[in-house]
Formats: sequence, structure tokens, C-alpha cells
Amino acid sequence: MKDCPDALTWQAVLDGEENDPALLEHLAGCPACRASYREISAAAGLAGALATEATLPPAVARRILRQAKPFPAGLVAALLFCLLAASAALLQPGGLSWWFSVGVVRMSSLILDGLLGAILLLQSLDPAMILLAALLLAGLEILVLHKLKVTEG
Amino acid sequence: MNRHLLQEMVEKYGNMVYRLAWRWTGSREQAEDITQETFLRAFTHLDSYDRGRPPGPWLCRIALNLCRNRSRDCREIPVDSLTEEMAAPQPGPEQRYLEREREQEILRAVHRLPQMYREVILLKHVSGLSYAEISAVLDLEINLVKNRLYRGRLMLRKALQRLASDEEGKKK
Repeated sequence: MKDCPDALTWQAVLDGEENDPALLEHLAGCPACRASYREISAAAGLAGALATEATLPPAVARRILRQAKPFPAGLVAALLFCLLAASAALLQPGGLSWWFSVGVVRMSSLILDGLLGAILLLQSLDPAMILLAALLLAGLEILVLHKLKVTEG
Repeated sequence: MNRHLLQEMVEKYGNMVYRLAWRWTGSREQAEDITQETFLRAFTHLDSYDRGRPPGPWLCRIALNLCRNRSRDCREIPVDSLTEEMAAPQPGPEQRYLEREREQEILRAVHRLPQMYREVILLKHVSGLSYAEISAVLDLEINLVKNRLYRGRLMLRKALQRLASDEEGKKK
């Protein structure tokens, strides 16, 4: 009795997590352990009624696959950029020239942002969207260059 | 590529997630919603998922979190609906009725268990996860999983015994 494995060990045997033949040998020769095993087995049998063969309706599986679309991070980044640029222009007309003279001329971050956005776009968008985004970026670049030319004289 | 992986996951683990959600919520509609949300979240985080590990426990973890959130929003579990679709064919209507009654009793008892025991029991008996997998889902040590499973099962048995003796008392 003193050397008997504890109830958790018998539970592991019952659940197929413990396969030591010595344990089964002990179980066969120990009435106390057999009683403990039977008790655990009865309790596990009750919980076993929870098992079900219910299956996921095929319509739900189809819906999941239909709705699984990658998050268009590049598009969001591009839209955010356009929104910020437009707001800078609309809210403070004088600030636009400052923004272009100080911002665009010096900062490499805009270029990096543009590149990052392009990479994300390539990863997450359909070819048509990529083309559209590329056209938008090209238009934006032309606008920027034009403004720079005006600003720098 | 990711969509292909998602399709494989849905085919392989869709039923497991659905059953877990169904047993937890007691509602087929909610189980469908949770299953859908689980896979969509998994898809969103597929890039950060360690593909060397089996996805079953990971999906169960997501589903379980969604189930917990639903439980917080809605305390009542419609237990009567839990057995509406039990698929196993039975020999006769009377026996089938009795077995359904028994299942409902067990399910009611399970839903009255404290959450920490209920979770382990459902992951073991509904999702069929191993101790190690349950430990990964719940972020618990294996010994704690064993302990909770043991206590949970005994609590369930006692609750059902109490219920049976109450009913006998009512009949007398």
C-alpha cells in the first residue's frame, strides 16, 4: 500500500498516457489500486458522454475560406499617407510648401515609407490593385516633383 | 499559400473546434460563429504561428478564449440544446430518450463545475487532447492538468450522484 502509485498515475494509465507494464502488473495484484482505478474509470466514463460526432456544417467551412482575406496593410498605409498629405494641404495651405521643402527634400523616411508600402502592397493585393496603387504612387511622385520644382525655384 | 494552409486546417481541425465550442456554448449557431472566428483569427496570425508545432492545441486555445468571452457576455448556457444533434443512432426511441436525458444531466453537471475543471474536462473528452496538449492550451504545468482533470471528474461524479439521490428523494 505504501508503495502504491497515486490516483493521478492510475488516471494517466486509464487515459493512455502511461504505459509502463510494471504498473499494470501492480494493478492486477493490488485490490486497493484496483478500487482506485475503478473509481477513476467510472468518473471518466461519465465525462466520456461528452464526446460527440457532430461535424462542422460544410457551409460554415466554405464561409470561413471565403472570408479569409489578408489584411491589406499596404493599402491602408497608402491611404493613410494620402489622408495625412491631403489634411496637411487642406488644413494649413502655407504648411504645404514647408512640408515639401523641409519634409520631402531631406527626409529619407518618406522614400522608405513608400518602399515599405509598395512591398506590403505586393504581398497582399491583387495585380489590378497593385497596378492602381503604382499609378497612384507615380501620380503622387509627379506631383511632389512638380511642387519641389516650384518650391525650390 | 496561407489560404491553402487554412483550408487544410479547417478540414482537419474544423470538427474539433466546432465540437468544443458547441459543448461550451450549448448553441449550434454560437458554435458556428466561434469556429469561424477561430479560423479567421488563426489566418490573421498565421505568420507568427510556429509551424513546427501541431495546430490543434493552438486552435483550441483561440476557440477557448472566444468561448470564455461569450460566457462573460451571456451567463446562461442553454443546456437543453446541447444534445440536439447527437449523431449516434440508438436501437429504440425509448432508449434513445433515456440516453438523451442522461446526457443532458451530465452536461448540466459539467456546466455547473468551476471553469478551471470544466475547461480541462472538455479539452480532454470533447477535443480529445493529450495532457501535454491541454497543458499547452491552458498554459499550465502537466501535473496541474492531471490534478484538475482528476478533481473535475470526481466532482462531476459526485454531482451526478447527488442529483440522482435528489430525484429519488422527490419520487418518495
